[in-house]
Amino acid sequence: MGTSTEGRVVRPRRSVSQRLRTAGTRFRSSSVRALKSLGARLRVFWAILRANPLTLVGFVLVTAICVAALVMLVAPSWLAPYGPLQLTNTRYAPPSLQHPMGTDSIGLDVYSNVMYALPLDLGLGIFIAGVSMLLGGGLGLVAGFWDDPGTFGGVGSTVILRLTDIFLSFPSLILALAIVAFTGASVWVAIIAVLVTWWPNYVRLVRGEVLAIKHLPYIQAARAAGVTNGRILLRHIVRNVLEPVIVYFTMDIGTVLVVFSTIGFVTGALPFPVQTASQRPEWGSMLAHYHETALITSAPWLVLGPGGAIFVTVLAFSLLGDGLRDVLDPRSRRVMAAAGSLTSSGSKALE
Amino acid sequence: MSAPGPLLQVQGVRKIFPLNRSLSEIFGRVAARGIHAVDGVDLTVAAGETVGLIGESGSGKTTLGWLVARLHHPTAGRIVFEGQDVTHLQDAALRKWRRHVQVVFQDPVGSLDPRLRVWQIVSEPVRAQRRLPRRDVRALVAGLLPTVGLPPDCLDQYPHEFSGGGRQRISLARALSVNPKLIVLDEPTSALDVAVQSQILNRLVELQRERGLSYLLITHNVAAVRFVADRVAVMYLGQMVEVGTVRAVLEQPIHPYTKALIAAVPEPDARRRRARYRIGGDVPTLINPPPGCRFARRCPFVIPRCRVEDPPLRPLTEYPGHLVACHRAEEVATIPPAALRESGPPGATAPPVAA
Amino acid sequence: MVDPVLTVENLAIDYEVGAGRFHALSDVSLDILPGQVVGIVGETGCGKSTLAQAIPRLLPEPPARVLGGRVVFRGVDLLAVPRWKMPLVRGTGISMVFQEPLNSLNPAFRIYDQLAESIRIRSLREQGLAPAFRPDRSDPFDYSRAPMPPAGGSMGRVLVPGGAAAQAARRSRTAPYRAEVLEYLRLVRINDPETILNLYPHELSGGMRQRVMIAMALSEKPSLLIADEPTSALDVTIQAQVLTLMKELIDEVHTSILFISHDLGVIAETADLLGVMYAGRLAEFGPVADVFGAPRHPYTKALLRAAPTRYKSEGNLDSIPGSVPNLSRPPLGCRFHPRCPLAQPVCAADPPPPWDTQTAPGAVAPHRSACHFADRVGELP
Ligand SMILES: Nc1ncnc2c1ncn2[C@@H]1O[C@H](COP(=O)(O)OP(=O)(O)OP(=O)(O)O)[C@@H](O)[C@H]1O
Ligand SMILES: Nc1ncnc2c1ncn2[C@@H]1O[C@H](COP(=O)(O)OP(=O)(O)OP(=O)(O)O)[C@@H](O)[C@H]1O
Ligand code: SF4
Ligand code: SF4
Ligand SMILES: [Mg+2]
Ligand SMILES: [Mg+2]
Repeated sequence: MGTSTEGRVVRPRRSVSQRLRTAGTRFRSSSVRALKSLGARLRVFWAILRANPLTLVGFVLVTAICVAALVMLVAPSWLAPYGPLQLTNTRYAPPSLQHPMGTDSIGLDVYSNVMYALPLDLGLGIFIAGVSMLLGGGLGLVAGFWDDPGTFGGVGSTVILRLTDIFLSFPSLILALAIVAFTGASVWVAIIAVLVTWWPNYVRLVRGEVLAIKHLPYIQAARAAGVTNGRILLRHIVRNVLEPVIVYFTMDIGTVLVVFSTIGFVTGALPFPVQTASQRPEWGSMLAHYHETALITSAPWLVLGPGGAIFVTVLAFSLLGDGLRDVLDPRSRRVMAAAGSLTSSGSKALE
Repeated sequence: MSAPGPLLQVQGVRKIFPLNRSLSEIFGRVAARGIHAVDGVDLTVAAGETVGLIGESGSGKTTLGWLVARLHHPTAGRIVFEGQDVTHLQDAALRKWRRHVQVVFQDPVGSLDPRLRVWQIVSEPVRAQRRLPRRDVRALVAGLLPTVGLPPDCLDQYPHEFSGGGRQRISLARALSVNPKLIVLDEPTSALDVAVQSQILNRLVELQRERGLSYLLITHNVAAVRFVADRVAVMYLGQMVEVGTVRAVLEQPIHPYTKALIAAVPEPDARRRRARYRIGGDVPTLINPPPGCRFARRCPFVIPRCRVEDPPLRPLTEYPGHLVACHRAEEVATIPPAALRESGPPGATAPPVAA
Repeated sequence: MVDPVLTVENLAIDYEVGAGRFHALSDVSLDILPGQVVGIVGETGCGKSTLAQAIPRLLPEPPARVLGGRVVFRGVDLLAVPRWKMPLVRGTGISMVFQEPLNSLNPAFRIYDQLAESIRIRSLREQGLAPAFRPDRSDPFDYSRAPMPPAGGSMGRVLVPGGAAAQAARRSRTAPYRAEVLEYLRLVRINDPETILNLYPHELSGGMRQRVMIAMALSEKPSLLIADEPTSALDVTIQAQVLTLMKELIDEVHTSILFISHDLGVIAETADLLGVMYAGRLAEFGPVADVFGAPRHPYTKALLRAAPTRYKSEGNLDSIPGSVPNLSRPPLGCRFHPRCPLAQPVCAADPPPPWDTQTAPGAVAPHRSACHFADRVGELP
């Protein structure tokens, strides 16, 4: 072993996907290789899930929630035995097999209503968090990347930041309430109210990350290599910012849901019970309605139904988000740990 | 094809980083201020030559290196590369020119994108210059890795799987990938232990012999400069104070700052360690610095003239090839650095720690 | 006999990486007395940073796992403290200068904010306004000297990026510390601190960043300062000044320093005791003059020889043949034996006796070496 390999690998942490990929190098076709690599990724993903029971719980729950939401869109009767307005002839029935979450003062089946609300609530969470991520993230990227003082970009960046500060200093709920108070309650008003206060978070998050990365030597190295600004942004910066943003986004879906439900709860932006059978109930307004109409002590299940649905959804996304951090980071040691790999070419090279 | 004359000429280059002005300053018409990081520097690097750049921390060495690689745009002055003025190259022309000058950065952790694999990192300059099929790129990288002492089969590894020395080799491979003529090495070994450091330094010297590369080696490590450099340039507060061959500068430094620097080199020999020289005095500000020699406040040989008149960087008749920016160069030339150590500087001790 | 500030006893730490384990530290023992500077040298990857981070328990666990041993800081075994109390323990007088200054300063805040925050926390602790760890009523952290040096702020501190409003709030909170911030920046020889205050970390030169880190650590007035390569980005004149400064800190508050460096010259100058690490073990430990003057371990000898001292025209630099062993399967017996010029069959079979003591008369500490043939090291070139 001469000097030629001495600089090599003291840290034999070799990526699993790479290990699996080298196994597949005899396949010539690139599509096969892509498939292999996808397969490898999935296997790593699965390995992490297995090693991390909480992430597994989160993953299973999120999958179940999403599937249920889809089913509720396509074939609601599979999961919800009653329609959202269908009256049963029992009132205030406690949870039973027939009515898993009981019935309310007029005989609506709480479980069915919770299920009908699922696609709406989930969609709202994803939509609001997603739009905030795209809008705020994009602005954050711009504000972080072109922020040299004295340039056009610097001015733009300052404007973005001031705006962000202004919006960030509004308490989200109060602003929402104010808008609703002015324009009257409707779904879109509620959505916009949340959105308006939501995107600044992403500006801050992304800008902070971009700033942290932008001055690292590898960005300068790319510049010295003659890489264009656009490609530096895409290849180095977006790639490195994506991981914290996706993790944040996943956890954020839950938070949006809570805030939206609170707004639904306080303003009654979405009426409950729904007016027509084609409308969907919403968990927050269900909660509000039952909170008003039922004594917690006499019919607690009414509140537990929608409340529990919110709780489970939020929990599921938080758990998943936490685990995603590991999946997305090639440096993640848990990735290695999970896949049980220590067959490093580095250690071989040193022997 | 290369023009006669030096590979790189830096002529009177200046870099001033503007400071943000507060609103009241703007309205109060307070003149714009800036940090004079590099303040009128001349330097040449010949083909196949290594110039070592040493000097006080914060004296603008990195900034000068970045100016040379056109990572900063100079506020004033000219950068001439192979007879062509490259000071004002822009956009596509600049990117095309970049393959001639590459940079190796100090921090082995931060200079490699953690999300890219070795082959992607090393081939980045190549792919920025022209589009190549992936297979060719990989083959090119695989051929390059052994020249920096890495095994060719680590193409698909991530940087974090390497030790500090291994990462520095990857950086070096990246710089070499476009066959540059000049590499700016910004403290390439300061994060490495002595054993790895000697391996990398040996490799650098061998590569230079094989490929006729030029280096601009920025470092605090006088031992590394001694081993790698042909000529040494010493910077103090944005200005060049001494330039000469490596033996001349390290063994018979003329400028008082260089003497102080050499006298302060720590001594592994424990019996002599108490003798290390500590330079005293205050450093002037880099914001619109006052006229006169910038070393005057700390110089043991200061005379009134030093405080009013800038000493130009000038050749000394008795010492051919040796440039010094000091009014009293001839008088102090023969004083050895060790003499500073014995006499002790004025105000040598640092002020006491705040209570 | 003074009680040591820090005692590390048989500390063993593994990194658990999947099925395999890295024995990053095995059987490391050392004592640091008040006011002493202990230097640690060794090749890349031999576990220096692991040791530095294990003492204030900053290692990420997992993958790191403490297998055994004790880390006694001022009478308290830090390894036995429940994990939730650790943030408090860190605020009791251990502060750290990390190896990578750019990664340890928050890029989104100006220098002033970061330094003022650590001074603020320290002064809150001095006034008893911020929580600090009290193991029991008798308070073993209370040294006789008053006021005791409190608080490693940098470790308990959270730096959350906030809006301009948050920055303004922070500024007004830290406004009273401005003078002190300037003072510390001057102490570490940063010229023109008034300007530097308002810059962001990336606008500083490498050496300036490192000095800001050192200023932050010093401003906490720790009783133990762990410095992981604090001066490798500094030029020698400033290095000398910063080292002087650290020494003065020792005189003033009796700080002890654990000093990790690649630079043998710096260690020779600064340290009282020197530990040479090889592959997770202490190969040699003793008074710095003895270790450099008469090394009793072949590895130390090789390390001393590898320091570059030549001109290019005089041929290549020496380096140590072979390479650092893979710590997941360290060589049996003496870990240095594959590269050791003195190796005998016994070296591959038995690990060297823990410590072959050869104490010079009147020395401040024993000179220990983990080598079967310590007496023959002098014969090596
Ligand atoms: N982007 C920047 N914006 C503002 N000031 C800067 C910037 N980059 C460097 N400076 C300033 O320029 C001066 C010189 O910095 P430079 O990094 O060139 O020093 P250096 O000689 O490399 O020092 P070191 O040896 O510590 O790395 C410093 O005072 C620094 O604060
Ligand atoms: N988080 C980690 N996971 C797995 N292994 C690790 C981790 N951190 C360090 N190691 C391993 O532990 C060993 C000791 O590392 P450590 O960082 O302590 O070395 P060091 O002596 O500080 O090196 P350097 O001089 O390069 O800073 C190395 O072999 C390294 O590969
Ligand atoms: S010009 Fe004067 S002050 Fe400057 S270095 Fe020479 S003697 Fe000293
Ligand atoms: S014990 Fe043997 S192998 Fe180890 S250092 Fe001593 S002589 Fe060398
Ligand atoms: Mg620098
Ligand atoms: Mg380390």
